[in-house]
Amino acid sequence: MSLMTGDIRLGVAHQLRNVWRSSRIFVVAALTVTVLLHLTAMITAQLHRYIADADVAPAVLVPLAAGLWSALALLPALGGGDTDDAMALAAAGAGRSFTFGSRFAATITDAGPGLFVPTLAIIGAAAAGWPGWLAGLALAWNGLACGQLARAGSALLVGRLGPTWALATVASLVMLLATVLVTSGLGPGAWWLKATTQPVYDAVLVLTGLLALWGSWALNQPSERSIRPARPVPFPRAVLPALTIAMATGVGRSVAARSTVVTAVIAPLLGRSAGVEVTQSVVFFVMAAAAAVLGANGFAYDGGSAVWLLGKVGPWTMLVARLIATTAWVLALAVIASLTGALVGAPLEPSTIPAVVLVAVAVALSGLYPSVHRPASTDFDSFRAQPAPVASSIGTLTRAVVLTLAILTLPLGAGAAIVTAYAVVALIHARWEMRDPIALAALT
Amino acid sequence: MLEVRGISRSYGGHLVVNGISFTVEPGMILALLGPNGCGKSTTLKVLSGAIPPSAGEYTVDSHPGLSDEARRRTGYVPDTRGIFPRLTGREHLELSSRLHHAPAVDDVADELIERLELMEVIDLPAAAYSHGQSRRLSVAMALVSHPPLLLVDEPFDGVDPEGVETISELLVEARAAGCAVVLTTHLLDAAVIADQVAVFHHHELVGPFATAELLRRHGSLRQAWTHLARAVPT
Repeated sequence: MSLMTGDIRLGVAHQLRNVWRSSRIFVVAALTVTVLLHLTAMITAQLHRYIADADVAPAVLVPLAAGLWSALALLPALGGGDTDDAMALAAAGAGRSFTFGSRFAATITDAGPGLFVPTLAIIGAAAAGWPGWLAGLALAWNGLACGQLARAGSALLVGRLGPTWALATVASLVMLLATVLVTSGLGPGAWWLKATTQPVYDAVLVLTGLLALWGSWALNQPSERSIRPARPVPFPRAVLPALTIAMATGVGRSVAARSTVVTAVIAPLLGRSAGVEVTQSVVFFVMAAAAAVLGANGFAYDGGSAVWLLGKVGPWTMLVARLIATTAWVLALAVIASLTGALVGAPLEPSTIPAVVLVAVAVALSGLYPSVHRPASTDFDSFRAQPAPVASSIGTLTRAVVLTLAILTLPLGAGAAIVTAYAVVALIHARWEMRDPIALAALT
Repeated sequence: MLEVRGISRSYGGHLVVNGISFTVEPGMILALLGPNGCGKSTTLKVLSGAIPPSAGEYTVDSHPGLSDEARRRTGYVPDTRGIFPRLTGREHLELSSRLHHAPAVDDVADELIERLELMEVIDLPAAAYSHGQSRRLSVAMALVSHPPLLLVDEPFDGVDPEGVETISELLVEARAAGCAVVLTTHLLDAAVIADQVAVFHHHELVGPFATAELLRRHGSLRQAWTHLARAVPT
């Protein structure tokens, strides 16, 4: 038993050290944000009596708390919190306990869940003062633990159902848990509501979280990747279409792609079932998620294949193929999210479609220059914003956000002009960098 | 087929390849030997068009290096795991033939798959391949469209003895079909298939020399390498 807990502790320490070494700036920024958010939570809690008139009551914030719980409980199953190469871990003699500890720590240190925890605490503090703060932390702990359980369950199902159906099944189960919340009073929103008024429920949330963690450890499978034969994709005769289809196929068969499809489908459903009015903005959120995955992870044209490609086609062909493949994938996600949005009563209006297309192009363009300037081996098998260099991730996401804001706030013509101008700059900049692509050619 | 004139390449001021020149005629195999980090892989990266030279120039079948025509005539096996993890082996071969503008190559692909013993994994995404299988696939990708120039960087790395024999046979057959081959390897026993051998010494190329002559004088390529490295002043 002590050996098991020792290995788990070692795994947690290993992952925290990994994160610290690979992205100190990112860690410092995340810690600073977390501390600031908690300080804000404290102040908000202190000022709560002054804002009581603003109707900030626990009941109002139930959907938000439930939504964040479901995000914590779902992200690990979608691929969050996976950093170490399975083969490297196996070669280092890492056992189940070590791997479990490492993955658990990776989930916490991932950008999304790492920020959800203080957000839940803040929601609690704003709604119910100090008891709410504690309830928020307890709910977050419970969500993180259930996330590990969802992940272990998903890994177990992959071998039987295949990755897409396994993800869809787990996502549906988490959705179900999260959606029996407001109306029935049985879901996580209700748990949090009770915990804000009766501290004993804090203990219940923590204990059930421990049980979920134990369950996930018990289910934790050896790190094996299930790879099945793929249906062959025919390549056209012409070079550019052939390369574009090869790149798009690579993205389409990845875990990240399946995860973003599931996200695109469930995001509108989740929002709707949690009592939040779903608007067309969900499409843009989905594209932002796609930007995070494709922009931050989609560097380097599948690592070592970059050097082979550089010897086969010219720089323009490589850049344009990547741009088309990425744009097509982001647009596909937008279509999926739009269809799901339509199903829950928020159909995309025809007048919005040009803006959606523009945002997709802008998102794809955002990662173009960093992909050749600071490439990293692609990691389409996880949902993390790593392993792209921190500067590239930040640069890509900042560009995507700024361009999206410009498109959404300015008249369509002006937005199109800005995206066109940026496209010219990005392509020329990236082509200039490709004069001597030593960073790409050095990838293994 | 391949004419290299005074090519140098540096990375951030560090000279890795210093003014090398050689010619490889059709139907000839040239082996580049040398210790780790001496510039062999960098040379092949430059000659494949992946990166430009810092100085000097080269032509492939009279077409200037870095041109599309030169790229199309060059089959390249990089020293890295130069494959797309989510494409199947068969898709790799098809993509390679498309990028080389080759006609239908199904028969050639099937033969290569069989000879390189990739039948069991050919329809799996390449992420499932072992290191040796990845190398075999890279070799098949370079050979599938019968390019007139082959640049083969450490093709035997991680490959089992039977695979080494098969790859050697394929390179010899390519030579017989008129292909010019530039090969780098640390397996000196396998390098004896080369017609000529050149050795990197302090980032400069010594040679090329006729392999048969080196073997006659020194008994083995290992002895020849040692002798050449000592003979050149540092």
